[in-house]
Amino acid sequence: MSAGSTAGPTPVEIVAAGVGLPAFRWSPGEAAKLWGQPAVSGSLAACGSDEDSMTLAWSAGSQALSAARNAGIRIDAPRTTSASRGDPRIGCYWGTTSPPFAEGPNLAFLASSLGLPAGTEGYLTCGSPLAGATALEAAWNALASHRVDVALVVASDARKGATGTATETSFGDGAVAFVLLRAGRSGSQGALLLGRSTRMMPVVDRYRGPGELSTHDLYDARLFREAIFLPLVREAGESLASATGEAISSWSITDPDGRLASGAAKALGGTPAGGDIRRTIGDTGAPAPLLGILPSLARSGEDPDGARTEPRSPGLLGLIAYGGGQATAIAMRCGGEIAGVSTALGQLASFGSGSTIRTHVEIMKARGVLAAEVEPVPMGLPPGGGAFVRQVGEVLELTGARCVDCGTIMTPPSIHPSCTGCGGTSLVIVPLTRDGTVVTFVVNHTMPAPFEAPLPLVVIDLDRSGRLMVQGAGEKAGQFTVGGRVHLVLRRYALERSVPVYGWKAVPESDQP
Amino acid sequence: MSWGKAAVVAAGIIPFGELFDQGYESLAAGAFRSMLSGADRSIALSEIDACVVATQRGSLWGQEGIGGNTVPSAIGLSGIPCTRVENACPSGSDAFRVGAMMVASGVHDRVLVIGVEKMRDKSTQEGLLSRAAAGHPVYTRGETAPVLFAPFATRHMHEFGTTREMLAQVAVKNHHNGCLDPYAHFRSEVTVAQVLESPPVCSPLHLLDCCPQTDGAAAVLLTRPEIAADFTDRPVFVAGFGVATDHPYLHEKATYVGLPATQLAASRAYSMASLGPDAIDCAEVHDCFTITEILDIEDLGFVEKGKGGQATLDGLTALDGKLPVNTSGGLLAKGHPIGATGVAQLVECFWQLREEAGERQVAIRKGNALQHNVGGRGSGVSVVTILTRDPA
Repeated sequence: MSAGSTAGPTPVEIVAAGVGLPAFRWSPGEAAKLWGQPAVSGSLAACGSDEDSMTLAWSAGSQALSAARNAGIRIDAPRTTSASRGDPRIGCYWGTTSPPFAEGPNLAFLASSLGLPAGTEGYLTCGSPLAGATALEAAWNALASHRVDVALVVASDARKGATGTATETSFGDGAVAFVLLRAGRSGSQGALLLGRSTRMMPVVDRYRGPGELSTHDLYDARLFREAIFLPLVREAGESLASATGEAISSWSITDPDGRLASGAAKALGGTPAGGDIRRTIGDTGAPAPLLGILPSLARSGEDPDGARTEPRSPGLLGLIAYGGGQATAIAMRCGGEIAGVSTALGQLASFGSGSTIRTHVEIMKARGVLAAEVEPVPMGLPPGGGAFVRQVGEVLELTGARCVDCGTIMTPPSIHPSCTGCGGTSLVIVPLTRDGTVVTFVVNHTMPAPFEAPLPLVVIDLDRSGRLMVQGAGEKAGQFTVGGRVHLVLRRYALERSVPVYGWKAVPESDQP
Repeated sequence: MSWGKAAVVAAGIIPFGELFDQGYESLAAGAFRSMLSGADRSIALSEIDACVVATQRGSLWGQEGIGGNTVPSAIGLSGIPCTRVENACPSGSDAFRVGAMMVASGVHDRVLVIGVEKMRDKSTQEGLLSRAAAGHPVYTRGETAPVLFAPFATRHMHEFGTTREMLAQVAVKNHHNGCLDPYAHFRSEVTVAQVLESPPVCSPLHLLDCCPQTDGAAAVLLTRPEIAADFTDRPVFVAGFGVATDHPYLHEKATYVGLPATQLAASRAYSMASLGPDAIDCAEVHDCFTITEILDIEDLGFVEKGKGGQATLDGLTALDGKLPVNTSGGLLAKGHPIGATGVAQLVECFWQLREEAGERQVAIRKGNALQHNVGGRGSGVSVVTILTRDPA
């Protein structure tokens, strides 16, 4: 067992947060019963067929960035030109065990859809559920070394547990994002990151070999618990406490089976944090230990709707992420309420109480476990073709072309070399807004695979910008009305010749946080 | 004074439908032979100077590249000049316009116009997808053909209180007319209840609000008016035509209760023909979906904007109404073999003006008939043609 610990790097603080929750919620008890497994309680969050770790990451990341902007924190640099002196330099750090491209432009797609400048520094961390904490460390390093002034950390996962096993009934999909600055820069008191420590051990527990499509789970519960998880987590936690020199009273810990985290927190002399979130959305993998700190980042310790969350502890807060034979622990001191946290907790609470419970069959269909045996018809344009390569960027960035002469905004820019209003050719690229009003809409019921019915298509007047026609969220097909308010979210339109194709979908406003 | 610089002297069509046994060239040859056999006097092959072929989507049967110029050989005219015209759903009517301009220019005296489309060699799913694949590779995903018109139904209902029953009445009327047309794909009556209860295709449009995918072909012979008498004592003249385009994407529309391309094409055609909508005896308009006919009769000036649904319920456009529309059964019942459609509509106008339409013949009082197509991405192109018995 090798060991290492660090303490006292330049302090950075979390100043804003956001979460990403998928469209579906289900009861794993139904699956446990089907497979003759011991009963399980609680609910799990699951992606619809047009969601994945990218769309969840976008959802959490855009919320955290909005919360920071709304709190008056300066995070934006010009998108299209290189930043000048004085503009904040931004970094984007994404941790996930389920990147949509096994090899491909994951981070570039995310940064583009979040509207981050092309010069954004970034890292994608993968490989195990440790990835979320690793992304947080990467952000910390980048801020501490003054490479960037603003860091966006996103952790997301959409993992398909192995059908008929404990992972099917414990894995949940979700995302969390934080905006971080160097301490003192925001003017308000965020959550100060104070120290970290890590422990690793070359063991094989959960792995996927080269070229393999599914993950093997060598999870012998007793061996894993006693010989791997608890020792590593405890050593990382104890090392962290000794490095910070302060008592850590509350712990958010990776919780593979819903019980280990609580045991580990008690062994470290603290109380477990984030259990309610785990019970509502499941073991989310990379984001899990980061999601677990959210209740501690709320000033009151309660969400606006008064739903139950863990009481706020007086001491330091610790998070410990475990994955791939490594445990990483990070300590922080919570200050004032962090922007976006109460909204995020409200979303989690309403997801747990309000969203429809889907059936096991619906979840299997959304995950592709249960697939119609139909021949999908390939689209005319392959995703590797020139048209896609040229035009995918303007979709992700959600840009329009504004006529300098008459002000008309046309979307998307690539198909408009001239102004549709006056014929002018002086056009500038502008970002579009993501809220708007429905002008008209349809619900398409008749399409060949890979399209899925019902598919709403909605013409929207975006607030203060252009008009656009985009798909609507299929699960909300019955909720569109002429004149109704909608919001655009990133969704996966298709897996086209196994390449994910992303675009924006309209969601009726009543469903927005 | 109408334009009158070209005359239709013969017209022919094959029964539309699922024509499994006939390939693209056979369809074209069938329409051509039908035109010859229906002509008032025998026409020698050597009398035909040039050919214009309308085919919209050769890829539906696998020959996008060479569709059109294979037709002369198939009909025994190998060697003559032949040009294919593709202009979306108005391909057939635009080929007719090009043919009319060819004879008017004096370059050719007698021009054959053939519209032909083989749509059912590929599965419906692939046909739908080829539509869905048009346009921007991401933004237009999921836009099958009904998506191009259904948003207008939603908005027309919202603004004017148009109902699904009003839309259904279009299908009821056109299927009734189709029963009287031996060339129609569907020759059976439908009821309002059947339309309303048919499966949803693209809400608010249901299955019987939509035209079928159909194989078909139609042909006409155009000549200079001065030599029309060589072929018939009762030629029909081209009074005027209009073509117009519009922004191709749905989100660029100035309105969702009308089609600007139709309005503009109509105003050009009326102006060229020196007449207005009140001078039209009957019309063949583009009813690819029930809502489209409602939009058409408003955009063509037959009724006030917003009143198309009620006018249809009131029987204005029925066979015995004041202005019969789609006496052939329209696209909804006769079918919509895209390149053939516009030519077939002109064949129907030719027969109506010559009072040869049999059971579906309407009263011809003013001597003028109107043909209309609209289509392409987002109804981005429209053609309106006006035929007349009296060019003066």
